[in-house]
Amino acid sequence: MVQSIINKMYNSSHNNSSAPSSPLNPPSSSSPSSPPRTPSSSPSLASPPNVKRKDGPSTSLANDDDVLPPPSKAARHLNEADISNQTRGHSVKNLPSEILLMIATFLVRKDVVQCMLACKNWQHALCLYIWTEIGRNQWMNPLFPLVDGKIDDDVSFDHRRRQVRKLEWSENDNLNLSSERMATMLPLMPGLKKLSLTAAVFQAPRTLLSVLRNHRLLTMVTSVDLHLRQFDGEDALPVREVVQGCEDLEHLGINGTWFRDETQQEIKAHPGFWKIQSLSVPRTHLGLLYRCPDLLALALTSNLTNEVETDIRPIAQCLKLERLKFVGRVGFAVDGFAAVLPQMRCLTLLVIDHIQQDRFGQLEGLRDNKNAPGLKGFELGRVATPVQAQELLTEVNQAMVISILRARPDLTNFKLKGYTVDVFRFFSLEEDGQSMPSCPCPQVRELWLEIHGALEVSADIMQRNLELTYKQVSRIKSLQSLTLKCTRLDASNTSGLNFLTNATKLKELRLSNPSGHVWSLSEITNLMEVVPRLQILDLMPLTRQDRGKVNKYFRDRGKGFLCF
Amino acid sequence: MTVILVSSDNQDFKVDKEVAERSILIKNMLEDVGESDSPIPLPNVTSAVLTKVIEYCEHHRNDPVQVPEETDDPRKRSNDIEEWDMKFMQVDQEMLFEIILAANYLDIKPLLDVGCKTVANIIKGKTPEEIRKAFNIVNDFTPEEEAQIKKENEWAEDR
Repeated sequence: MVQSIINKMYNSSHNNSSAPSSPLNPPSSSSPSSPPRTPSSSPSLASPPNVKRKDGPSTSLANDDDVLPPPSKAARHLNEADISNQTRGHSVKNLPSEILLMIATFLVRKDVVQCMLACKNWQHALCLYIWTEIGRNQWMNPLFPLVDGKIDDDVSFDHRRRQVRKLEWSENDNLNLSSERMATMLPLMPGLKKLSLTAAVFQAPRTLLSVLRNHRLLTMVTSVDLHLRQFDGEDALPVREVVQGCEDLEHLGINGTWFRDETQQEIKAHPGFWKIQSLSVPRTHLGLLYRCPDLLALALTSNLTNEVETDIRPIAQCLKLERLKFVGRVGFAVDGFAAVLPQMRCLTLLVIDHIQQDRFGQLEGLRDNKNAPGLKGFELGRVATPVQAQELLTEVNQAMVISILRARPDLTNFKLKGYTVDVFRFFSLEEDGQSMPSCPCPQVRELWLEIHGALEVSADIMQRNLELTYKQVSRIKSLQSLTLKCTRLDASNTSGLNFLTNATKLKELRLSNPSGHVWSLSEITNLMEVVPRLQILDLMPLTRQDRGKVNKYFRDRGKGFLCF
Repeated sequence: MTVILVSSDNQDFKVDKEVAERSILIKNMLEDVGESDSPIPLPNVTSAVLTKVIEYCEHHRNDPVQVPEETDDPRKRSNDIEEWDMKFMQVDQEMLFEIILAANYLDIKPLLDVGCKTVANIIKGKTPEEIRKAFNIVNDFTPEEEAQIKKENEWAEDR
């Protein structure tokens, strides 16, 4: 009996511990066959010959056994029992690489590279990790080895390419890398799970798409975003044809003219449901929703010219939907389906600014908390245009937003980005400043507000309103993340950081008031006494000197603290 | 209902089933074995570490399954450690790593996450030399090797 329990434990422990590391190691069958590096292979800028010796295939997998736990169950058993029997202490140096890799997921790449430079064990454990995600910054960097086409057939890069799990590439980012070359590179990355490709501007993505389809690349990925432009003389493809056979697809994002929605007849003619849980499509592609009964998250984009009112029925039948996001035009009344989406928890509207006038009337139904009763997150923002950085929310729209907040006092996340509000109205302050009504979002954990005042409001009144705002915010004890931006140059926060003494759970703080009070180190350290969990801080204005001092202060105390 | 856990140094720990089942390993075992009074041996966990792990599980015995934040932001964060957990993790480094290994072995995901976040927070923003100092690591690179690794990974740093 006991023996069987122990066996079970080791089985389970083994499976369990190998699971987190598996996404980072190539399939084990491929490791013994990784070809030996030919000494004659041409050196490239980023890996001169002497490093290849260190970091080539010879150290990558086979020799990782130095670092990794022994492969066989029995050996692992012995090894672990050995360690615990001797009650030998663990130093960070001999942490299994699977744990190091888990730690790395909480770090930015720069920190991971610093870790690699600490010692050889760490370098071995992490050297492939930085290949798991290839994004925009890498393609833009001339030192990135894949930018230089010469290494495409260099086998010493095989095991690194095999690490790539997430790839983002946009034709705009690197003009030297054509979609043709991207097409030759993709089949060399068999571990790919998340793919994001944009080829919408410069040239037709014909080759790219045919590679995706011929190599059945999309059948392996779990997440794909494609922004592809249709080229002349070709018919747009129904989305069905692109994701055919993609059994594992959990997220699909489609944009650009290459793809078209399916008609009801087509859906009937080619029935089939997808397991997709997260979908991002143009507002004109709602027919797809009939294929995605399990949808949890939906993002709808819209192009600028399309004024068509959208049929909400496809959305209303996605009963499991929890997250809904609009980018661009909403095109229909939000409350129309808020009533029929009982599971909705998070609503995001990023609206194009020039239509904002009184359009929030579409939100009317959210004032009734019987609609979408589980709503916890609510974000309103503008699709950024450089023309006007901030726009004061009209009085009508402000009243709408405030009444929604009043109806939903249990909101945990509320953001109003890109719109400034008149603080006076927003916190429904009394004219005399004597009596203050309750805070409109008393239980919010994440709050983002940009504060302004109507121009006719005098500097004195603005100043008082601002102080009352800080007073209102000081009542929110649940705050974990706060962003307050004041754009009026004639008003400033005079109470320093004292208004945050109740927010003992605060982790993230961004305050900006360009003309206002200059924050000081002592003020910040005093705040830390009462808000010990603060880890991200962005204060404006803060002198450069103080910024350095603040960063040093927290580094010295071993806090993962970031001061911008 | 209680279960008995036995540490590697043969100490018995009597804990509520609900608390022990914070460990998915133990939970699965209890499910497989069914009703049984046999003590559960944990040969990879010393009594000192098991005491800490049980303390954590006691405190979090009623925690719901982790709920995702109501936001679009998918970033993995290390700055969301709860106050109690932060204090709990204020132990010497040897114990910190023992806890992480035990959490991994016992399959207690939230504890494993908190442990990894704690280590990540120590690493953040440090230079390689500062990292070595923080963890008592001996530099086993030659200056040439170090320069080489730096050069080879320059492309990865800009984030």
